[in-house]
Amino acid sequence: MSRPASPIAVYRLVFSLVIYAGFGACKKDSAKTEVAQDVNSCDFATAGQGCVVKATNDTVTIDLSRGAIGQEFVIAPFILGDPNTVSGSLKSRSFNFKMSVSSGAALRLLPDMGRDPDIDVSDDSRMGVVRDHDKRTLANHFDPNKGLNQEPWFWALAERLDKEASSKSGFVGGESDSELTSFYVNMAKHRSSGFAPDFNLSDGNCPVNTIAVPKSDGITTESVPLVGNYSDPDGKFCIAYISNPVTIPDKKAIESAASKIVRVFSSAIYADNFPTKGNYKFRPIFAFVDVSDEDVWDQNTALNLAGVFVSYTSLAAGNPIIYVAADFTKVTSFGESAQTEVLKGQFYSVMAHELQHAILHYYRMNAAGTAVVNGESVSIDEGLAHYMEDLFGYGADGFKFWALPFLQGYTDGVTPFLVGSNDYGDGVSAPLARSAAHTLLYYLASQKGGVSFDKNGEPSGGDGLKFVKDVVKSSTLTGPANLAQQFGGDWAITVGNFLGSLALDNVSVGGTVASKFTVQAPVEAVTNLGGKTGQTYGMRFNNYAELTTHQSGDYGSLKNDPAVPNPMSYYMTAPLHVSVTNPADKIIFQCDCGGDRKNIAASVVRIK
Amino acid sequence: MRFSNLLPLLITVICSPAAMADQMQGLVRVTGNPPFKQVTITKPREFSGVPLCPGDKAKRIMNLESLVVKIYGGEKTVGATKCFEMGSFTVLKTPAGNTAVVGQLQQKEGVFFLLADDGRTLPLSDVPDGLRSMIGKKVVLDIRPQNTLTGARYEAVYYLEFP
Repeated sequence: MSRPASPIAVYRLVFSLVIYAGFGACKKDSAKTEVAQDVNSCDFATAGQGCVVKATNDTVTIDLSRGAIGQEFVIAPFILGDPNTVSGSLKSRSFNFKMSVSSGAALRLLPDMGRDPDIDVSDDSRMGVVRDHDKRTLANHFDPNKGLNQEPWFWALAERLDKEASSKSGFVGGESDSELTSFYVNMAKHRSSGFAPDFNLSDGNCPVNTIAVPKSDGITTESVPLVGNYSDPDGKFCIAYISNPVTIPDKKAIESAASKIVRVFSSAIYADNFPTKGNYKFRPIFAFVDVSDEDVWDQNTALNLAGVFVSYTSLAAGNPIIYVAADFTKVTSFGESAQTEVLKGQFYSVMAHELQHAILHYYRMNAAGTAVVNGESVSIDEGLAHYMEDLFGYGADGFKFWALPFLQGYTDGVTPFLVGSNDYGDGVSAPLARSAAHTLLYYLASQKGGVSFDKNGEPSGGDGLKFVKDVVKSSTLTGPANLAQQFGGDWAITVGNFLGSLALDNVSVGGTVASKFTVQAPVEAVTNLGGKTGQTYGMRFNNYAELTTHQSGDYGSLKNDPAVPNPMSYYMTAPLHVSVTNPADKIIFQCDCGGDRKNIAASVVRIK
Repeated sequence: MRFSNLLPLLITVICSPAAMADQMQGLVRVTGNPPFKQVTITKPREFSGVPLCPGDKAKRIMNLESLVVKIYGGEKTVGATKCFEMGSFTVLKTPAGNTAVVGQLQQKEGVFFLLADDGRTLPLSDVPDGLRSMIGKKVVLDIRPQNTLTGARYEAVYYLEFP
């Protein structure tokens, strides 16, 4: 596979502190290290250990006096603000971390320790999936009631996709450079026409002869005939074949996959039968459609999607409806002309992903089933959906598409490690936004105990799974406050440990890595939705290569000149790689963060 | 009824984000998964509050997530749901809880200053690049006074383009 087209910016760096004293006597013995490994102890006895140093007022002072010459650390300063009011990084980015050293000692750069450039990812493939999912995001998030007053990020994302389509020959060619944007503008202008879904529902609310599909105006629907249908005898789900499936032509296999998805979600994951809320019955309808067939599906490129859960059509129908492309080679952004194993896997994982959206949507609705009362932030909603794909054995497939770009990018001081609702698509690409949440969720679930799988390769329990379930089912809190409450403990320390895990998980550092800096080892005994055994749940954070860190120069001189890699916001960082030459010195970060002093801290991990 | 019995009720009314029918004040919280994503004005540290009516000017203040605003308008019923139809709004506090100053950013003879909505002219120092790019635009600032050799100026420690 080719390398990514975009070169990875590898910053490097270091600085050293001049030293004089001996520190062997200060070292802890290994037994004490073991005891201290999961508490917030800053003794740094061995590589693989670390802590989160919280600020006094606005200043984090890192004392490495227990260290020794030659030891190396990765230090990641950050600010979270109040999790009850700050939902992640915000649109405003005006924060600076001013760094200094207590003695003003001279610095020097350490040898380059950049990321391995030979990353085994096909950029075209990755971008193709990314683009497809972004389009699904647009479809999911278009609110006809808002007309042209969609959120700013919505139009920004549409324009970006248009530019992407016009500049990349591998993508579907639009008739103009603004086809996607024009599509939604057109839909927005026709908002007054009203939405009247046309269903003929059989007993149990399963469509039999026809089903409504969205039209290009985004408001009205068209009733299209079914070539087949299936009603789960247990009343759990429906399948509506608008077109015969091609990527997975075996209808029995599709029924089996749908049955498994619904069963696993309702049993092992949520332990819930999803009772009816008002007129909204949670009996999902998986509708398969040839997205290239103009007789049954709108041919605007905006609807050329692998799958989509459209909330407003679902509410109107009284059932969640998940539209899935019958033939993934017709999803042009995939750029595949053959039914590859990847496409077959995507076919199933998309079903699980979109159903997770429908489930969160269900839990956050009021009892009447008419409105969402505490919707989750977009990035966490998407992160949860990707996380759920992993539970069905698509962890390895999804890693290079989703978590990898985040892991490659979060050290730039621009890419947040959690995004506020308003940032989505606004300066932070959707894949990075959702993958940040996905990665954080995986860390938190791992720390809570991870997920266990039964002999059939299905998720069966684990405190990590319970944690994720509790996040989804939250009836009160949202965003970081929700994560913090469900996880427990000090949120700044939790997040700092997450950053430490991004530097240390699965890294050989010559010592035992504290478990707080690790995630659950991938489970490679999962049976996926196609019945294939030995598939993967989970990820390792370091399997993208080494951590990128920033040169000290990126933070300005050590004479306290304020300069940072970029103006930052909440939930952003720019890690530094520090070599100790004088443990007597202290490294100081002063957060010039708009006067906010809540949850300012730095993750400090010893790597050598 | 004794006054002490009324106290909890009074506190509730006073602290409510919708204490008055034609205006309300509170934290901007962007909740929900579109198309049900909505702007809700809540009391600080709470997650439920008064939703702004969709499809109106509410989108303007989505960029003010986590800031405290005062909104003028009135209650309305859309379908079966009550919401607050926004007419206009003012920005009161930044995410850090500091007083926000709103005005137009201008530059004259190399000096940046804010023509604040309250009529003040506030010279700025150490203007960061991100803010410099907003010349001529209406901005939301959190400023701190500074004594400089050229007189009193203000440092913008937080900035955001006014939506």
